[in-house]
Amino acid sequence: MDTIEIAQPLLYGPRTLSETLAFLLANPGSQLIAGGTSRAAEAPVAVTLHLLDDLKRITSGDRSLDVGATAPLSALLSLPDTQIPVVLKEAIRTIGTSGLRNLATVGGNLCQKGTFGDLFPVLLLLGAQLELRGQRSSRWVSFQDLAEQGRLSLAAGELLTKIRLPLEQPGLHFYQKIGSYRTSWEEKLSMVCLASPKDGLLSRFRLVFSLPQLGLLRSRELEAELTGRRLPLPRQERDASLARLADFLAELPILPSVFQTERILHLSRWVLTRLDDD
Amino acid sequence: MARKKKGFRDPLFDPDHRLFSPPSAECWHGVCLRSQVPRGRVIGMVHPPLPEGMRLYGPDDIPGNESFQVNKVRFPLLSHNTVHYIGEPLFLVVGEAEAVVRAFASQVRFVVVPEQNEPAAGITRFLSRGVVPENSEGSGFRVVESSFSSGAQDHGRFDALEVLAHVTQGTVAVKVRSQWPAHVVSSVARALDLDPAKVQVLATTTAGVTGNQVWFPSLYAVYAALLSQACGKPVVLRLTRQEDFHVSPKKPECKTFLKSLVASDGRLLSLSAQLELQTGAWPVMAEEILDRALVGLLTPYHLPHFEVQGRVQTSPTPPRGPVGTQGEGLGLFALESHVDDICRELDIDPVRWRQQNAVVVGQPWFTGLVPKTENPLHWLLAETSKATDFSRKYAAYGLLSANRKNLASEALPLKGIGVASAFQGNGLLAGGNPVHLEGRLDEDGQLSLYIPLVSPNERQSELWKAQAAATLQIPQTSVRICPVFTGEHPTGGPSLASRAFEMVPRLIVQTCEALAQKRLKQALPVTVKSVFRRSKTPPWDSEAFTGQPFLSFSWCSAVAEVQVIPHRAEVEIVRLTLVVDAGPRVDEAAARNALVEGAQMAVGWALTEVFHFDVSGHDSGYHRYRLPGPRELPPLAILFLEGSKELRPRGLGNLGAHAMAPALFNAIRQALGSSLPSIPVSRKMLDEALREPVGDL
Amino acid sequence: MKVQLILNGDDLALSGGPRDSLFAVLQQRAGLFPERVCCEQGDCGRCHILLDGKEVPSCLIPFFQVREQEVVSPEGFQNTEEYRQFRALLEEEGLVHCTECTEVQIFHLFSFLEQFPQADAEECRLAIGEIPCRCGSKPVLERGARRWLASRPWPVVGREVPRGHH
Repeated sequence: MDTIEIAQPLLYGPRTLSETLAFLLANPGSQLIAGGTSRAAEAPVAVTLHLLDDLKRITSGDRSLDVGATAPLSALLSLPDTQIPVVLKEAIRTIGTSGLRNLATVGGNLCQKGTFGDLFPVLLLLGAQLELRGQRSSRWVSFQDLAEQGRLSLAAGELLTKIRLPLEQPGLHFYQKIGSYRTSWEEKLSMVCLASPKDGLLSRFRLVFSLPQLGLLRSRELEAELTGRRLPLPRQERDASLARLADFLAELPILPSVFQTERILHLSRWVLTRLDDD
Repeated sequence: MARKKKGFRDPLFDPDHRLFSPPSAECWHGVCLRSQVPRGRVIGMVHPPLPEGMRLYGPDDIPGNESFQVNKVRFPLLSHNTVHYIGEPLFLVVGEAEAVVRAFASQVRFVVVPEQNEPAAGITRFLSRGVVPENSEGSGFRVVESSFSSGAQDHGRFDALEVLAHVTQGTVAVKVRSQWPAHVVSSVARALDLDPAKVQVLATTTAGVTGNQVWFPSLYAVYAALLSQACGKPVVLRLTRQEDFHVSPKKPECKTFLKSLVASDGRLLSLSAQLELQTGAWPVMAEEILDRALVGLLTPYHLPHFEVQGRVQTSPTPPRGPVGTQGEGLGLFALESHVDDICRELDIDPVRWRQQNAVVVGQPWFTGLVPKTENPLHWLLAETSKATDFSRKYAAYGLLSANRKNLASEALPLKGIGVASAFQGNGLLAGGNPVHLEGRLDEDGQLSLYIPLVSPNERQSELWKAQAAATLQIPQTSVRICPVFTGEHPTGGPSLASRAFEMVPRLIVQTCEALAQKRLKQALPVTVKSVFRRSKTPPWDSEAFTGQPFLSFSWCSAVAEVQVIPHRAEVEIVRLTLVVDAGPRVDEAAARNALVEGAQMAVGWALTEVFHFDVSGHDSGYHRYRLPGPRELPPLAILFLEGSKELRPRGLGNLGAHAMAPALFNAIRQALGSSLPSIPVSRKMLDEALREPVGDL
Repeated sequence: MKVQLILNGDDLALSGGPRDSLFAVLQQRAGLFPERVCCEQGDCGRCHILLDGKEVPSCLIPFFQVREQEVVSPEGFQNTEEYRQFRALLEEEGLVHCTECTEVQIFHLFSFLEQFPQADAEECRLAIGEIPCRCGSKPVLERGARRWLASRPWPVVGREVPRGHH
C-alpha cells in the first residue's frame, strides 16, 4: 500500500482489496474516493480506490451481470444489449456527459450523500443485489431491503464491492427522467417501469417513481391491480386505475409538488397506453 | 477630441506591444467591492485589516471625471454614497495575489441606510399617425387585443469579462474584448484625465452574441486602468462567472399590450400598442433600444393608422443592454405573436394574412417614406410556406388542438406549427458618425489596412484581405489587418458594428483602388484614407420617427414545428426553417453560422433561459440558467433567397433570433390551444397550460 | 506531493496538494489550459483531457489519482496528425472558428468518436450538444462527425464480447 504522509489530510491508495478492508476496519470514518466526482479529500483520512482493479471489473455470467463498484458508467454503456438490461443503459445515458460517465462509478452513484442516486430505482426493479465485504465478512443485500431501510448501512470496515443484476430482460421497459441538477426539486423526478405482456395478459407490472424530496414512490396496489389484466387495457380501466393512483398520491404523508403529481399521472397514463404495444 | 494629423498608430506592430502582454507574475489583480443591497445610502464600510501591499480605491481617488458616459447617459463610476442596485461597484481593491484579494473582498461589508432613491429619468415615446376608421356597427371590423411579456436573456458566453490595463509613463494600454474600442479609449481617458491619444486599446471581439461587448467592457477597462495608475503595475480585472452573470447587460425585459382593428377580410386598419422596457438602474442605450423596438412593431405591415407609446422603466438592478437584438426583436416578438392572435380570431391562414398586409411597392412605411426597393416579405412567406407545407399543417394541427382532450387521454403529443416574419435593421442612421479606413502600401509591397473595427474571427479577416489583394492584385499574404483605436474616430452606439461591417468591405475596395492609382504617380510608401459618410438619405429623426432608420434591411421568415410532450411537460422542437433575404453571401459558411446562432438564441429566449431579478434585486442564479441542449436544437433548414434588387450583402446576425422566437411561441400556443402570456415558456407554464380546460385561444 | 505521470508523451513529475484537482495542477504547474476558465462541475467540457485514452473532466479528478497514468491534454492532441486531419475535415465542412469552444469541441468530439466509433447521427448530435456554447458551429460539427466516421475503417460489429471479464 502506498502511503503519502503530508500535513493534512492523510491519503491512502491501497492496491488490493484486503489492504483496503483492513485499513477501513482500523480507520472508521475514512472518506472513500472512487471516480473522484467529489474531487477533494475533505476528511482527515481519505482512501482512494482507483488503484483497485478488482473493483472495476465487470463479469457476465449466464444469468447475471456482476459490476464492480468502481466500474465507470461508460463501461456499462459499451456492453452489448444482450449482456445488460437496456433500461439500465437508458438510465445511465441521462447521467452527466459522456466525459463524466468515463469517470463516475456505479457505486458512487448509489452512495451519494443523502440520496440513492439515479440508478437506484432501476436496479431496484431489476432485482439487483449489493455485495458488501468486510475483512472477514461478505454479505449480499437486496435493493428491496435497501429501499425499505431508506439508506445503505455499512458495518464497521465494510465496503460496497459489487452490484449483481439478473440478466433477464423484461418484455417492456420505460425510463423517463425529468429535470437535471439545474432544476429545482419541485420539477424533478424519474420513473422506471418494467412490464411483461404474455399471451395477451400483463403477467408482470412494476412501476416506481423517484422524487428528490420523497425518495421512492411505489404503489403496490396499482401494481397488483394491473398484474394479470387482459391487454389492451380499456380506456375506462386505465382511467379508473389512474384515479386510484391520484388518491394514493393525495394521501401521502409528504405530498409531491403539483408539477410532480401531474407528471406522475401523465407518465403513468403514457405507460398504460403503451402496454398494448407488445 | 484632438484630431491627429498623422496616420493611425499601430499598436500591434510597434515595440510597445509588450505593454499588452506583461508577464503574469508582474500583474496585480483588481476586484470590485460591490453593494450587497439594492438601494440606500452608504454610511460606512467594514473590512478586515488590509493585507500589506493591497490597496483600496474609492470614488475620491478618481483623478478625472467621476462619471461613466454612454451616449447621453451618465452614471457614477463608483458611487459616493448612494446605492443603485445589488452588485453595484462602490470601491475597488487591488493586490498582488488574486486569491488573497478575492478573500479580502468577500469579507467587505458596506453599511447602508435604507433609502428610496430617486429613479433615473424615464424615457417615453409617443407616436401617432393616420386616421382611425370608424368602427361602426355593421362595418364588420374586429378588435383584437393581446398582451405579452418577454424575459431577460444573458449573453450566455462561457468566458466572463477580463480586462488588462497597463498604465506606464503617462500612457495606458488596455486589452479587452470589446466591440466599441473607441468608447474604451474615451472612457479611460476621461476617468484618468488623460489625452485620448495616450490610450491604446488592443481589442478582440467574439462574433455573434455581443450584447456584453458594447459599453460594459469600457466600464471595467476604466476600473482596471484606475487601479493600474494607482499601484503602478499592470492590473488584470477578471469577473467571476457569477459576477458576470449578475452584472453584465441582459436583454431588457419587455411588456407589450397591443390592440388592432382589423377588417373582416383581414386588412389591418389600425394598431395601437404600449411597450414598456426594463432598463435597470440606468437607461444605458435604452433610448436606442426602445426606438428600435418600436420600429420593430411598426415596420413589416401596412398601417393606415397607428398609435404607439413606448416607455423605459428603471429598477434597482444592473443596467440592461442589446443582447441578441439591438431592439427590433423585442417589438417583433410582440407584433408577430399578436398577428397570430388576429389570424385565430379571423380564422385566416397566418401566412396569407402576412402576405396580405406586408408593405408593398407604392405603399409608405410607417415613417411616411415610400421604400425604393420592394419588400421581399410577400414572396419570402410564399417560399417558406411551400418549403414547410405550412398551411396544410397549420390547418391540421389546429383541428388536432381542438381535440386536445382525446389526445391527452391517449398520452399523445400535442402538435403545433408557427410562422413569423422579421427583419434586421443594418446601420442605424442616427447621428451619422463616419467610418474611417486607412491603407498604406510599403516599399516591400506589404499592404497595411488600418480599420477601426475588430474582426470577429479569422474568416472575416481573410475575406477582407482577399478583397484588398484582389483589388490591388497582390498576394493575399502581403495584406495585414491592423485594428487601431485611438478615439479620434468616434463612432457612436451599438450600430457601429453593423454599419461598419457593411461599410468596411466597400471602404477596402475604395481605398485599394485609390492606392493602385496613387502608386503609379508616387514613390512608395503611399497612404490613402477613406471615409464613409452618410448619404443624402434623410437621416433618422428619433423624436418624430421620420426619415429612414437604417442603411438597409434584411428580411426573413421562420417556421417552427413542435410537439408538446405532456408526460414530460416539455417542448420537443421537430423542425426549424428560416428563409432569408440578406443579399448575396460573401461567406456562405459564416452566414449560416450566424443564422444558426440567432436561432439558438431564439430557442433559449423562448424556452429554456430563465433569468429574472427578484424584488430584492438578486438574480435567479447562474446554476439555474440553461442554454438550449441538443434536444431543443434540431437541424435548422436555411434557404437563402435573393429577391430584392439590393445586390450588396447585408447583415443578418440577428435575423434568426428575431424571427424564430415568435415562430416558436406561436407553434407552442397552437399545440396547447392556450394563450400563453410570456416567454420563456417554462416547464411550469407548460404544466399549468396542460391543466387548463380546453378552450379557445 | 509529487506525482509521476506521462503528460503529452513526456514522463514528468508534477507537484500539487491533496485537495488540488488535476485541472488546477495542469494549469498552474504545467502551463496548460492557458487563460481557460472551467465550471468546476464537469459540465462545460473546457477542462477535458484523455486519461489512459478516455475523455474525462480534469476538474473532477483528484490530482493524486493520475499517478503513473497517461494524460493527454488538448495542447498535446493539437500536435498530432489526427488533429490536423480532423480539423481540416471540419474546415472543409465550413467550420467558423469560435474563440470559446472550437478547440474544446474538436478535442471532445474526436475523443467521443474514438471511444464510440459506432455512434449514430443522433448520438453524435447529443455528444456535440454536451459542450454548451452560443456559437452556430453544431451543424458543421455534426456533418464533420458523420464524414469522419464514414472515412474510418469499419469497426467489427455483431460479435458479442465473450462472457467473462470485461
